Order: sequence, then structure tokens, then C-alpha cells
Amino acid sequence: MLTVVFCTKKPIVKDGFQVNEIDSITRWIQQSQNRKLDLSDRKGALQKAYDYTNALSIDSIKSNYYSKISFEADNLNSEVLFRDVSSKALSLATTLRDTFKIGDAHWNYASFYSKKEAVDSAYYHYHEAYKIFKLLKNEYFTAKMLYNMGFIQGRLKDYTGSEVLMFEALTIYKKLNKNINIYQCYNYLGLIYMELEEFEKAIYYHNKALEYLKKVDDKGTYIEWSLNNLGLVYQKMHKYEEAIEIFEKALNNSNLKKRDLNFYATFIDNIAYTKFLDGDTLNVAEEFNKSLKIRDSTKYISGLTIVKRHLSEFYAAKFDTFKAVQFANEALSLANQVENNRDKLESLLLLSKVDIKNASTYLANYVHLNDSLQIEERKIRNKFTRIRFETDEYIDKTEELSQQKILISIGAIIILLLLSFAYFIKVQRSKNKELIFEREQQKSNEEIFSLMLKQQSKLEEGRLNERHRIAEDLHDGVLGKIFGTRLGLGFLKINGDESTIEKHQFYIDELQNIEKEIRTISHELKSEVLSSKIDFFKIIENLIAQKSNLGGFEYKMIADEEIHWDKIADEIKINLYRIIQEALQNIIKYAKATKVDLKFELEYNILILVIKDNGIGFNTIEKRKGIGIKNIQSRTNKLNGIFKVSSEINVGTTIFVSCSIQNKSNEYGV
Amino acid sequence: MVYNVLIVDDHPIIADAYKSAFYFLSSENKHLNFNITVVHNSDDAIIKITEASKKNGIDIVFLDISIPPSTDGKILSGEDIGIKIRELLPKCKIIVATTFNDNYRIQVILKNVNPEGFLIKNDVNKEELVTSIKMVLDNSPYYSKSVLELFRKQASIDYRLDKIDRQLLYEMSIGTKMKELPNIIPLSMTGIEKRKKNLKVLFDVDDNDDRSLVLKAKEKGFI
Repeated sequence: MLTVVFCTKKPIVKDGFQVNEIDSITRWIQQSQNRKLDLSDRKGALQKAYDYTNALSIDSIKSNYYSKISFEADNLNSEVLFRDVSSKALSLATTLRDTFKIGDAHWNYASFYSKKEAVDSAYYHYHEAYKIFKLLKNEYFTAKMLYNMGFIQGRLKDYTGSEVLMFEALTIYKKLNKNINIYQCYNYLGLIYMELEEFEKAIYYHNKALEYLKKVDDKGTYIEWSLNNLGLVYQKMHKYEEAIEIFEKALNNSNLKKRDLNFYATFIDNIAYTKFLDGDTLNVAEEFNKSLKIRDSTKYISGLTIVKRHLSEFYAAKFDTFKAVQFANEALSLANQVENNRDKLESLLLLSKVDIKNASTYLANYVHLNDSLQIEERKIRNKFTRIRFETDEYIDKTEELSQQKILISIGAIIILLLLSFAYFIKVQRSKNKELIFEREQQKSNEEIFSLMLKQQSKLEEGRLNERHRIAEDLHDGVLGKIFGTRLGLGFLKINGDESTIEKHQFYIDELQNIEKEIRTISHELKSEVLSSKIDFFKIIENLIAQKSNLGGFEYKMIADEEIHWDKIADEIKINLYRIIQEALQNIIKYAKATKVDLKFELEYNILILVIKDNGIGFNTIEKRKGIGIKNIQSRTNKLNGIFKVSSEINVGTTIFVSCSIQNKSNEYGV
Repeated sequence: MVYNVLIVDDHPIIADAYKSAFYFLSSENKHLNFNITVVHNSDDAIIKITEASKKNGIDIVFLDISIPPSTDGKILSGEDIGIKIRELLPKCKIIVATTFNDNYRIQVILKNVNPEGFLIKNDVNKEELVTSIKMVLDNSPYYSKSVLELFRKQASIDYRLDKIDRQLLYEMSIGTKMKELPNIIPLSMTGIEKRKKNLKVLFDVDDNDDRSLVLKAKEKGFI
């Protein structure tokens, strides 16, 4: 009897790298996959791929290839290479914190150990992989791990545990519409229920499996396997005719002989055995022998053991004890040869039945082996439970942690939002404050300027009044007195010679001239019509005069006659004043100038200010802009003007500021 | 013949000089005799004038324009005294002698007082002073050189300028701010602007150029 199961293999993932070394690695791996080549050649190719991979410098790419090579090494049963690669793959994935790759490495390990029948190790690695894939929410792979774990548990006769896992896997597969995997699960469930002797259920699941198989494109020999398994169920139910019908249906429907010779032999064996169980011995021996021959030729030992046990049973039924014992012994030795415990047990049980003489010994052996196997299985099952328990705990913990993480993240985001909101408000507020402050500054600036103007005009008024007073004093007082004196002198009777009289007259005339002069002076003192260049120009002149005292430089100040300061907006004048102040401050502080020229020009409504000194100058490119220069720049910007500074070491610095004076005030105070 | 003479001048030394002139005249001509009174301020001047109007009157007044105002504030200058004389003593001959030679004041005085003699103190010397008195006594007016020149200059535009125009030009020339003008001239700001514009057309200067207007008016003798 043979039950067939499938262990899921993972798909090969290909990446497209175009680097030379990578190309050669890919080529070597492809060569190792080439089924036309010898196994040793393929192993050699894989070894080369491995060597090249070791030489790679980029860990992430390395990790990819380790994973592939590990997978292939497992496929090629190259144990040394596999162990080498897999340990490297796992450690590299761990250092890279590439969780998926870690899971992948565990999967490779599991598949490797599964093949080596080291079920506990295999189970452990499947579990590790399962944990990781579940964490990564890779449902498909999680389901595959569940299936593989269930598969192993089923093999260790933990059928209920296996069933639970299969159903878990099934749920996921159904969600993902993975029909082939669904088929595998149902098939395995059918096998489990057969082992549990719940035959109706087994039939139900096998039929379900076949149903899903219809949706699969690449069916392979799956239909035949399922039919075989189904037939075996009927066989166990002693429904031999149905069983034979199913077996033959599978055989007739396909040219199995060509596609899978061993499987073909299995069917022949199964049909013969079922017939034998049914009591039909016609041609049975020939069929057994036919199967035996095929299996002998393909060296399919497991199958051979089975057919030999069947033959032994057959001869026992024919009371040919010798042959029965002979086949049973051959089956046992074959089972021993491949260390197949199940076959060993079956063979021992058979021997105890056919070899009457040694029956007790075989039975004792059987019981002993069975017990020890059961103990072993139980131990391993306990191990599984422990692993699962730890996993559950781990998953719970992770979930708890992830929940905490989510809570913390949400909290952090909320706090962050609140903080940024608060920050935003604060920035907005300070901006507003800044604006208000600027406006106030502007206002106070204007106030200062108007105060300055007022003071200047007061000063001017005072000066004017004083001039008027002087003029009036001169005119009314001094002039009158001189006039009176002159006339008085004129009426004086001068006694003397002619020249004395002449001189007398000359002095009188001279007095009249003095009067004229005084009158002119008085007039000029009063007349202000010519000095309209007061206010702003005066203010600047005062400023520069004051600064020149401080800085010890001479100054020259020129203003274009065309400039009507009264018509220029206060804002412009304030800023120009500040710019000049700043520039003069710089000159005093740094320039060590002895001469400063200040010039106002007007060109088509563009006012140009030039301040030139003969100081030490500075390198305009190298030197970082000082606060003074920056202030001038920002003030010029406020006027929408242009600011330029040119400087030459030991020659001096020149500052140009130009701005438009678009103002249409008609007011003209003379 | 004896003439009653009143000399109004706050400077005693000038009053003395005028006196000397009259004495000089009587020393030249024995028939001319002058009864001279001197006052140095407005109050005294008004008292004398009022007294004389009730008695035998005054024949000639030498009037200075810039003398201290009266204590009651009614008389501000010699001009006001001149007006008072014309009111109380219509036959009296007035010789204004002033140091002013700005055209505006001279014109105002001419208009308000219409004196028989107008002397600009600086133009005057001994001979001229004596001549002026003689001329006025002979009933012919006497004007100083500067005053005559003013008459000639103004001849062309004179009739078109009224008192307010002149005042406006005058205020502009002494640097009065436009804002203050409505307080001085009995016109609104727009009225003033209008007048200014007309003046600019009259004197043929640019619309925006107040300064040229003032200079031109000065040149033409209006200020």
C-alpha cells in the first residue's frame, strides 16, 4: 500500500541584474537547474555560483543569491553546500534585518530537514518561517508553512493537530483562490481521515480535492494520485469492486505507463492486491510480478517492499509458507536497508503471521519497535506542541507589542500635530507681531522725521526771525541814524579851505554809500526767496557736518537744483536719511576716510544718491556683508530702489542708491 | 510868512537834520519862517495833529513811516498818521520820508496817503531835502528818484493788479507759507490759487514756477 503526499515547494524568484558577475552567477545557477546535465555537473555549477556569490560586495544582492543557491542545493541534495549556503544566508539576512529573507532561509532549512526525515528540525524551521511570514502578513507563504507543518504532524500521526493546521491553511488558500493548494489540502485531509478510519469523510475530501483539481490547468499526475488515494479508501472499506473500478479508471484514462512508470506499477500492485483481498486470485500473481519487475528495474525500494509484502500475503493465503516467509523477509531487509520504520513494522507484523515458528520473536520485535516509535513520535509531538505554544505566545506578544506600537504612533502623531499646530500659531503670531512692530517702527520713524522737520523749520523760523530782526534793526535803527547824521553833517557850516569842504562833502557822500550798503544787506537778510533749499537738504547737511566732526573728514555736498524736496514723499526722505546715516557711520567706523562726497542727482524722476569716500575700502566679494550694508540694502528695497556698492582697497568706497520719486504734490512752500 | 511845521520821526538825529533844513531855508530867504514842532512817536503826533486842527492848523508835515505804534494800538505806522492828517487837516502838505524802498510799501503809501512829497531817505542828501521842501511849498509834488523809477516800471501792468494781487505777491516774496496765506489775505485757499494762476499768466511764467513769478514781479516793481 502506498499513500502519496506532496510537500509544497516554493517558486523560484528571479531578479534582473545586469552586472557581469551577477550574470555569471545567474548562468551557473541556470546550469545547475538544467536537468539534461549530470547531477555532479549540476552540483559543480552550483558550487561555482556559490563561489562567485561569496565574492560579491553588495550584501543585499548576495543575500538574494544565497537564498537561490540554498534552494537549488536542497533540490540537488547537495548537503554540504546546502548547510554552508543556508547558514550564510540566514546570518546575512539577520544582519541585514531582512525579515523576509530570514523566513526564506528557514523555509530552505525546513525543506532540507524534511527530506532528511529530521522531522523535528524541519518542523522547527517551518515554524520559524511561519512566524515570520505571518508577521510580514504574507498570507500565501503563511498558508504554505501551515500546510507543511500539518503535513509533518500528520506523518507523526498527530492527525487532529494536522487537521487543524490544514483547515487553517485551507481558509487562507480559499481566500487567495489558490486552487492547486486547496486541492493539496483536501487531498491531505482525505488521507488523514483514512488514517482515522473515518472513510466517509475521507471519500468526501478526496472528491472535494478532485473537484478543485478541475480548476487547475497543470494537473500533472494529480488526478491519478487522488484516484489512487480514493481507491485505497474503498479498499480499506472492503468495497473492493468500487476500489478496482476507480484504480482501473485512473489507469484507462491515461497513458500512465509512459508518464510515470513507478506510479503505473503502484496501480497494478494496488489492483492486484485488491483483487486478492476480494478473493479473486486469477492472474494476481502475474500482476504482482509485473509490478515487482518494474519496481526492481527502477530500484523503487519503498514500492518494492510493498509489493513483496503483498506477494508474501498472497503466498501465505496459498499456504506456500516458504515463499511467504521469503518475501516477507526480503521486504523486512529492504525496509531495514532504507530505515523505513513503517515498512519495518508492516513487514514484522506480516512475518509474525506467516512465519509461525518465529512468530513470537517477530511479534516481540514488532511490539518493541512500535512502542519505541510511538514514544519517539509522542516526544516529537510534545516538541511540536512546545514550539507551537512558544509561537502562540510570541505571536500574542508581537500583537500586543504591535498594538502598543500603533497606540504609541497614533499618540505621537497627535502630539506632533498639536505641536506643529502650536508652532504654526506661534509663528503666525510672531509674524503678526513683527508686522505690527514694523508698522509702528515705520510710524515712529515718520514721526521722528516730521519732528526733525518741525525742529528744522522752527530753527529756520528762528533764524529767519533773527535775520528779520537784524535787518529791521539795521534798516530802521542804524540806517536812520546814519541818515540823520549825514543830513546833519550836510547842514553844518564847515569853515575851512576848499579842500576841507570838499573832503567834508566826500565823507557825506561816503556815508550815503554806507547807507546803501546797509540797505542792501538788510534787504538780503530779509529776502528768503532765493534760499528754497531748506528742510531736507539742510537736515542732511547738518547730519554730515556733525558726522564729519566725529570722523574727522572733509565733506562736499551737492544736490541737483531740480530736486524739489518738498515734493518728495517723507518715506523716501526718511529712508534716504537713514541710508546716509548708516553710510556715514560705516565711514567713521571702518573707512578712515579724509574726504567724503555726497551727491543727489535727479534723472527723469529717478533720484540718485552717491556717497563716495577715499578710505581704505574693502573687498566686495570676499567680505561678508556687514549689518550696515545690509541695512542700506533693506532700506533701498523698501524704496523699490537699486543699491550698489563698489570698493577698491586703499582707494575708497562708493555707494549708489537710486529710487523713483513718483509724487504729484503741487504744494510749494517758498 | 510863518509856516507851521510838524516833524514826525522817532530818531531825534533825523528830526534834527530836518530842522536844520528848514533853518537853512530861512537863512537863505528872510521871508520864510518856520514854526517847527518835533514829535518822536505816534501818540504825540496824533495829539499835535488834533490840537492843530482845532487851532491854526499845520502847513507841512515831515512824516516818517516806521515809528513806534500808538499805545492804544490804533496807529500802527506813519501811514496811519498820514491818513489821520488827511482827515483832520485837508490843507496840510505831507512829505513822507522813509527808509523803505520796497515797491509794495511805497505803492500802498502812495495810494493811502497820497503825499505831496515822497522821499526815500537813502536817496536824499542836503540839497535834495532842501529842494523838496521848496517844491512842496510851491505846490508842486516832489518824488525821490526811486519812487519815480517805480512809476515808470509799473506803467504797463499796473492797472490790472488790485490790492490783493499785490499783497499776495508781497507775501510770497517774504517767504510766507501757502498754508498761512488764507490767514493773512481775505481769500480761501482755492481763491488764492486762482489768483496766483492769473498772476502767472499775466507775468508770463510757467504754471509751477512760483519762484519765477516772484522774481518777475520784483523786476517789474510790484514788490
